[in-house]
Amino acid sequence: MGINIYNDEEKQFSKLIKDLKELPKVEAPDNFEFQLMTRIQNKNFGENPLPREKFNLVKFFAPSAVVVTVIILFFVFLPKDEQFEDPLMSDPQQIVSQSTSESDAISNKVDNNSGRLAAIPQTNAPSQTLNADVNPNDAVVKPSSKYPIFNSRSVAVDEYINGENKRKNTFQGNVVKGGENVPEFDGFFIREEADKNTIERYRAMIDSVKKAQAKADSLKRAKRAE
Amino acid sequence: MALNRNLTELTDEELIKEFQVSNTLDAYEILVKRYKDPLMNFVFRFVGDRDACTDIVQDTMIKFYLNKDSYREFAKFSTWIYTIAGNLAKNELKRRKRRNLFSIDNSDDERSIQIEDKSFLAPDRSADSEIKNEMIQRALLRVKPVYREVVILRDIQALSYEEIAEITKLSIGTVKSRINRGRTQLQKLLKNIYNE
Repeated sequence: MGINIYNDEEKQFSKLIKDLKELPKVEAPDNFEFQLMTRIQNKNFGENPLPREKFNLVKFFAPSAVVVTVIILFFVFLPKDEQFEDPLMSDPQQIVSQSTSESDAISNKVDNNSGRLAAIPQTNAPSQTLNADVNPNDAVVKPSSKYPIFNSRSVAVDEYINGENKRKNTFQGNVVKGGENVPEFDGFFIREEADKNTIERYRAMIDSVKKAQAKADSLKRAKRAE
Repeated sequence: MALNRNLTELTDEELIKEFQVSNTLDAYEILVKRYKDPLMNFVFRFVGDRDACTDIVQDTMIKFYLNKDSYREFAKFSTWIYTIAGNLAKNELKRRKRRNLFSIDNSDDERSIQIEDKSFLAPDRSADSEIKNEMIQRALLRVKPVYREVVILRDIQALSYEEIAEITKLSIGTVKSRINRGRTQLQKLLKNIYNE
């Protein structure tokens, strides 16, 4: 092939191109066709595999075993919800306190100015006291029977912070601040917003108690007078 | 014998058509004979390993045998068979590259760099054609495969730009550009030979 198929731009590579052209030609081995036709006749059409590394079971299973172990340990040590309850994450429970009419000696102090009714228990029995604000917008604390409120152990946190809660004993302070002789912590509770019907009902109960007391007082006076 | 003579006179395209239509094994063998050496040369210059290149060219012929019907008449047979051989050669290079990632031994190519340094060779020895050819081959193996392929097809196999573009599925402009870059790299690697 005497045709010069290279253009002028390739002059700078002329020496290199000449050397590349003159590289000795590599030829197929003599038995190339024989081997090829033998493969075709034997239908040995797989590509000639070059030696590959054999599948190493240890190399495969070792990391797999590590992964499986980690997964098993994860599920074994997974913290179970029923074992403990994080008080900071759980929703506080609502408390409803019951009003009292036929309970033990309870003295009611009515502050006519604020309309607040505060009940001070004389015993440490489970609270059957009413600590209610008669204003419709105020919340009413209603302890449920499931969580009896002991006044010595419970603190209205907002009032305590505002300084409104005049502590009757040191336990209340310990409940908030901690320290020695701290009673068992039952948790945080929230006040339920009272509905009008509830307030009216409590108001009616308070009115009936007042009436009953007034009647009792008048009867006493009448007896003395006799 | 008369049939064989007739067959030998046929062009590549006529032979493969004969093989496709009549399953004439003689036509297949003639094509194998015609292309085994050019393909060996091409693959050896590209891969650099004689044993591997024999296997690759054998696999090329096997693929040609099994997939003869996938050849379409509008393309040249040489283009088609060079494409098969080129793809198998590239696969082999990829396989070697993956193996070398986990190899702690230095490849032969790394050691060959020292041979190219003039201080290791006396001037008269550097003119020795055998050593020179070895140096050129080693330098060729250090050129990027995408440039190496087209340089081999152009400067060693003497194919046209159009044929190379068909084999590599590139535009002629890209082929020329890659050939130029390949030659530049090669010349740089062989500067000890070509700087006078």
